[in-house]
Amino acid sequence: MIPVRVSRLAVLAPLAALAGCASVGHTNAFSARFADNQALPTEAVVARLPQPVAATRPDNASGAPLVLVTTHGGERRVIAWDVATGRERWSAAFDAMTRPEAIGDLVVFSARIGTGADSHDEVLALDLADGRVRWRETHEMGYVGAAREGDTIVLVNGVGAQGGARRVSHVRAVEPRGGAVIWEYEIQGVLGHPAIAGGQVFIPWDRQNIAVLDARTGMEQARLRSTDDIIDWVDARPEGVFYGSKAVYRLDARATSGTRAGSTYLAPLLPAAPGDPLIHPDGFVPSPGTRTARGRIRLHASLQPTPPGEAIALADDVVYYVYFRYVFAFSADGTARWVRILDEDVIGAEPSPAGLFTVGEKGALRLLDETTGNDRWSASLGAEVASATLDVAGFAPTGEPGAARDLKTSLTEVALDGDNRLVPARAFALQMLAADPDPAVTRELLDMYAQRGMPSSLREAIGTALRARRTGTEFLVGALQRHYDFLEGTEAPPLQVIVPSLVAAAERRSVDALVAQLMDHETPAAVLPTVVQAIVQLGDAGVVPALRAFLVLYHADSAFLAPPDAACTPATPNACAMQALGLAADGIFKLGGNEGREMLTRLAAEGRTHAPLAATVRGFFEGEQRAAEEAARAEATARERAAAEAAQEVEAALPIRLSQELVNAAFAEHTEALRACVAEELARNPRLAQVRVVFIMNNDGTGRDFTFAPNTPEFVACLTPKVAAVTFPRFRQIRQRGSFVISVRGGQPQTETPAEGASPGAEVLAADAPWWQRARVRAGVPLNAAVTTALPWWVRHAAPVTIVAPPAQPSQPTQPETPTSPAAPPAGGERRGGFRARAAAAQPAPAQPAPAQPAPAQPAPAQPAAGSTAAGSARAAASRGRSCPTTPPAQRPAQPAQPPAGAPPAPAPAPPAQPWWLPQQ
Amino acid sequence: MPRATVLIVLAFLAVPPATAIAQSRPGRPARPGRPGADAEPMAPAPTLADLAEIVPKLESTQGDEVREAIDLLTVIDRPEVVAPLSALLRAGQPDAITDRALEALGALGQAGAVDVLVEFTHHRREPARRRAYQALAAIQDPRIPRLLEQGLRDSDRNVRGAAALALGQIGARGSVDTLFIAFDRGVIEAAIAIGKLGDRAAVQKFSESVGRRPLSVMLSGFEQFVRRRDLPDEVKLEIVQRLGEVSGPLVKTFLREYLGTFSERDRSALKRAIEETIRRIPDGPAPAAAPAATAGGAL
Repeated sequence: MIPVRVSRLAVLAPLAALAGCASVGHTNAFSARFADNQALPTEAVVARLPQPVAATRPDNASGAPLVLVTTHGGERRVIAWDVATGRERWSAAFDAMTRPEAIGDLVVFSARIGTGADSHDEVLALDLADGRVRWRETHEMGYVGAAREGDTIVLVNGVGAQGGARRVSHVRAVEPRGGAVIWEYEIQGVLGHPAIAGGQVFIPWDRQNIAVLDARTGMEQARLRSTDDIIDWVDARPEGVFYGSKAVYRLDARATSGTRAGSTYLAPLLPAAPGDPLIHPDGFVPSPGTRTARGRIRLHASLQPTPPGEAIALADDVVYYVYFRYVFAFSADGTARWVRILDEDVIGAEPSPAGLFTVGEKGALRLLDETTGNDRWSASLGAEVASATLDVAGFAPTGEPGAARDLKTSLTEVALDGDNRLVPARAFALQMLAADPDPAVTRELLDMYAQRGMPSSLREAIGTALRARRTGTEFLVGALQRHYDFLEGTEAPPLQVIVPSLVAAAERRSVDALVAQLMDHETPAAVLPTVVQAIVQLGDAGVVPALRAFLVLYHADSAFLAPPDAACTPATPNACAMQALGLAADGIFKLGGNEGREMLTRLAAEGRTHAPLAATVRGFFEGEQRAAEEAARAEATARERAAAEAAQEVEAALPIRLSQELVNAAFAEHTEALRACVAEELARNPRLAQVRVVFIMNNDGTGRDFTFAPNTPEFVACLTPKVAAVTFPRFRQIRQRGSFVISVRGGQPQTETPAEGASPGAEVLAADAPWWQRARVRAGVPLNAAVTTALPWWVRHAAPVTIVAPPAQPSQPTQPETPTSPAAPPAGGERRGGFRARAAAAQPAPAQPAPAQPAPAQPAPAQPAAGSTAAGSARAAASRGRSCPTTPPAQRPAQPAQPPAGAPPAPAPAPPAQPWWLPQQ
Repeated sequence: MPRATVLIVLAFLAVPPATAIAQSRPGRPARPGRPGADAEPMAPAPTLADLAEIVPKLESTQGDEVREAIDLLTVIDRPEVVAPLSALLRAGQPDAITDRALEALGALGQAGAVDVLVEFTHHRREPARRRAYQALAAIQDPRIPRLLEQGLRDSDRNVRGAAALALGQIGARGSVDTLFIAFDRGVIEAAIAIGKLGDRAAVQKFSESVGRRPLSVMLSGFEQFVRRRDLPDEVKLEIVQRLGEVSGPLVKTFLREYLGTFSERDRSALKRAIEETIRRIPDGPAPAAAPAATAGGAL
């Protein structure tokens, strides 16, 4: 930055400003050390801006709606045209190089002075009232633009905005009457068109920054830098200060974020519009005053005067898109309102609440009604226009615009306009038309597609639109009825765009017509694959004869022979034809049933069939076989997976460890086998009270490492194979230690009840409870159940056998229940009788009289059955898995009275109250 | 192609001609023998009794054998051979066999072949369509003119040309209007057909195209008009006068050749008019070759 010259007025002002601004640390403008995006300075700048208001009157000093134009051809002039009076205010002969701008009471522009080698450019300031030159200056740099507020005019000149090694700009503030310089800077970089509001100058800088300078002093107040976007322009309007490129940002406190998300931001409008239209002209490149195509593609919109910080919104909910001589009006949500074709290109335009004011290149002035697009007002400048500046805010003539035209009709007219300069906009109109679901649009598109002379890009756009149509398919089906006819001049329908749409719409009504097209030799080979595919997709078995006829007729024809890897293009009709044959064969394969497959098999085997076709057909069968094998493999895999999952589920359902109840249940199955061993051991050891088995259980249900107590050899030898035969339920843990206790001695039935206050089912066991109680609990027998722990275990887990009472012994009438000699078991006696006989023989004589026994003649016939039933139920329950095979109280045999709960056990070797094998009462 | 010519060609290709002559249909021209055949023993010409033996050969994988079978069937020259030939065509054949079979059906000229030939007028290969139309033209059937007119609608210029010539060949006077449409759309062969079929009004209508169509094309139509015996001399006189207006060496050459068809003793007004017209046409440079006209009209 090089401060070039500072006027007297500016000498003291910066010094004063320096004092005030010292807190933000800047002493100059455009300094590389100046901090950007600072909140406080920016808030101060925003605070100085005027309140946003809607523009209701022209900005020029006269307050009259005004159009400034430069003319084209002949003697070039600058004309000020008063819109209100419909007359030319003045006209001045200048070869304007830039578009004239009205700033206050001046019209400022750059003009070429002189001709030939002596010519040079000057910046001219004309009096708005009469066109006289107020002042003029020559500058070595090109004129960029000017802005004015009150008595301060800021002018920017520069070099290098459009590239080049030299990038220098000059900005200065001048007083309006004589052009005297108030302050000025020359910087290495490019500056854009300035804007002024609230006594502050906003200058876009290097397309990334905005320098905010005090209008009177030239001191930089704040600087904004965009990190998400480039900054092509800054504009100060009554609605606020805005900047941006394609998007629009509001200059407010949020602008210090430098980002889209953090700023008050309006996304680019109509992003799909062709021509990359701008919402604001590029501020770094001066708008030319000569005729050019630049600027003829533009967006025009007014913004609402919303307060700073609030979202940017379109005024009147309308944005105008001008493409040369087409004008489109859209709502803010992108909905098209109207389309207008003008008879001349639009050179300049300005939106207002009444509509869009346009200036045409032939001098036509129009106000297009916002609602209908019709002329609300029109006039003519009577001159060819090269450039135009409009200052017509608030101009609202009272003319009636007339009825709105049908949008579809307008769009169709644009699409068919015939101006091949404007094909992109015509395609744009076509897309808008195609977005309409009205079935009639499909017909319109078909008609357009059939038109000769349609540019290829537009035809392509129509084709794309037709392919995407899902309504009006009846017109597509109707189009299929058309066939080529040389005499009638009829062309084949555009199958390449019709058929995909019909297929997507599943339009089965088209099948017959498609078959007719298939059999018509005029149908281009390039679309045959599409047609055949559509027939197969939309048709059923009814299309097989046609496919078959097609396939058979051409399977050896040279027009259908192509290398197997040839791609189908319009230049390779044979490849397309061969592809069509393959697709027809595929259709027969899928829809033709066994007959079709047999036909294909024969066809593939024929010597004259084209080899690629034969290979294709064989491929169908091979592919099917592969698919079947694949499916079988997949099915087997699925089965295996399901089985594995089921096994995992079963495994997961197994208990981690076996509970004692399950162990007991497993042993219950073998009661009878164990009983023999216990009886023998009891014979050997009459004082045997308990047998304990400790072992290891494997999770496959087997047991090992059995140890027994007592462990007399005989007893161990007897028990080992029997215990080894016990099969336990499976469990998840690899192995676990288990034990099983046989309480040999019986006693009086003993009923225990839970302690008062205990919950039902809770087992209460005193710390000094006798072992049999603990055994009961361990076996899962409720303490309060009417069961005696003194009963032999096999009675409590009775085997499914019938207990038969031994025959009475006449020699011992007083002890009828005393067993007889073990050597003489009752004939036909059952095992239980045998046990009893052997046990009696081994039993020593009782030391005291035996207690009263039940009558021997009463073998308690109900017990075995009940025991059998109970055992069966227990086994069933055990096999179900988880319940302890306890005998229901109602099915249990009557038991002798148990000693009271907590009573000490009988002192060993106390003789048993009664032999364990006798039926209990 | 005239039927006789077709038969001659087929006879050369297929069967010993001596017996073929013996078996030929009454009224048909006798088929000449194969060159040098006189010195060799002749196999008997196939008859309908041989059909069962010949037809299986149509399914041979050897193309030569199939072609021989087609030729033998042609020699049999009975309606019964149409069916196997039709079946052969419908079964889809290589180009050479398809074309041979279509020519054979044309040689046979049996009405029973109309259906299969109509199918082949929609064949995707142009030579097949052209042969189908030519074969149709060889069949005497009231449906034929209408079918041949369809050929004028074909996208291929050769097919259109063949159809136009065929219409002229079979004398389809009812197709003159259609031929004029085709002629207007550039089917130059229609000029010959119009010349063969048109009446006095057609001559006037045709003459209106002078100057809009190549002169060589117009002369091909006028040639057919002036050769016809069914047209009165007044009509031919009008043609001569119209050509006199056109003048030019090409016309002069044409009229001279036409004059050569008159006997020297002919003293008719037409002849005198021709002579007078020739005399009025100045001698210029030798007529250049006729401008290359696009056969069958523009695509």
